[in-house]
Amino acid sequence: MVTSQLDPNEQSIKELLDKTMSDDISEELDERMERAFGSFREKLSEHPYYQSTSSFRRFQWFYGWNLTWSTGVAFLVLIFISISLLTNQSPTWADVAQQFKSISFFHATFNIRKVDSPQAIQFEFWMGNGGKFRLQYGPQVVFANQAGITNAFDASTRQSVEPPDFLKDVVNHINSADHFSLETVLNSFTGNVSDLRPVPNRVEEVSNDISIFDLQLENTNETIRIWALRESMLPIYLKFANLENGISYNTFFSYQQEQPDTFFDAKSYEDSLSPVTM
Amino acid sequence: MNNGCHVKTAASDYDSVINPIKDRMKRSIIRIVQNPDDAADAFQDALFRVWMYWERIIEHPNPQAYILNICVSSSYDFLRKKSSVLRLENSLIANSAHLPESIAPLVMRNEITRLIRQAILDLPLKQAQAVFLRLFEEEPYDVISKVMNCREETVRSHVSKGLSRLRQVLSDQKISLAEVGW
Repeated sequence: MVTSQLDPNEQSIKELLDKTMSDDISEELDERMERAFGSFREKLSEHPYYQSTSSFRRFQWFYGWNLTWSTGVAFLVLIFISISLLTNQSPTWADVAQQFKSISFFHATFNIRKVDSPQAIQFEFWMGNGGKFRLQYGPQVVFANQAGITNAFDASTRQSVEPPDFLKDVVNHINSADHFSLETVLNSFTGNVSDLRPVPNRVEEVSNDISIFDLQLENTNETIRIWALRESMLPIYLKFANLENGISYNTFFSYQQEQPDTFFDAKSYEDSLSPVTM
Repeated sequence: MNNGCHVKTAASDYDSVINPIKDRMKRSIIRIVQNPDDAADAFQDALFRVWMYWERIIEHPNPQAYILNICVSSSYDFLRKKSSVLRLENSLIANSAHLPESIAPLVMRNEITRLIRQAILDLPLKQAQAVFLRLFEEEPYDVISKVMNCREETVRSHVSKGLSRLRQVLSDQKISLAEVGW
């Protein structure tokens, strides 16, 4: 690789930068990076560039891009595993996102609050195997799958009801993504922020058990903070705040118990609502 | 070309393109982000981008400069996002007269480092990329123009503006490097 001499003007600043920007690499960091290089080299033969014929791939950029993206994510997971699980380091955002993606069920409580209102909107959300959802907003129980909302009931009246628009929006948003992920949750608050990544907040990390990630959206007054368990790498609390209009969203995640299939079955629920005949 | 041949090509591509610049990739990242944990994150991000753009990289006339540019931009992106949450504190240099003589040079060096890093952080991305590729990687201007996909004159302008900004920071703070033993 050819390099070129610096002129005196550039050289004087470079000398200063050399003093202020050390490039010393600790042995531990070097080992982590080398492991990542090793994973990269090992997986490179699976890159779509080497999987298609050279004459074909030039005309298949868009298809190739999709394939590159999906295998890229798989590759990334491998790198994260090699870097993170083999060492006792703080999880990265990608670790947390991947771990969340790997679980088949969870429960979340969403709390939406305006600063000028004592009332908060609260609803619960369960995700089960096979892309089944159940939501509860007050007495309303809503069942959904990847095709959209299938049924909605009011437990107090034991009747089918039209679900509120914001729950329809929630389900539509979730189903608009290829796979449900933390990015899906973030996007639901912020619009499309797929190119942004929360960064670890090392100042706020007062607990050894919890990692905190922050996302400051550029040119807005919106901030997102995510608390994740360091060992399991699962998110437990996500707070979105718009400092301009005072709206905040608080999301609490739990992973305690996988609900049975009947829990997501609207028919079973409807049967349970039927008046008991003696 | 069959798959067996491709596998061999992947390994040889890696060995010819990445192996020679592994150390430069690592150092370009740690130099910018400094913190080892942050460097690991930025490095993951950089490798991911290298994977994503591998086809472009391998067919680029200067694949190694292309990769180093990715390392710089990944680190810079990472640092800027982090800095938007945790801005560096105000400089202590203005109060340096109150520091004990025994620690003044050390504190001042630390503050100069912070100021320079903040100034670099505040540069527009293109300027920062051009400055890093030129000053640290010592890439020729024509190569930088190819990896940044712009004219050579534009790269020269980016570098010139970036260096001017750094000089301005030093000038504004009335920093004398000799005073702190530099």
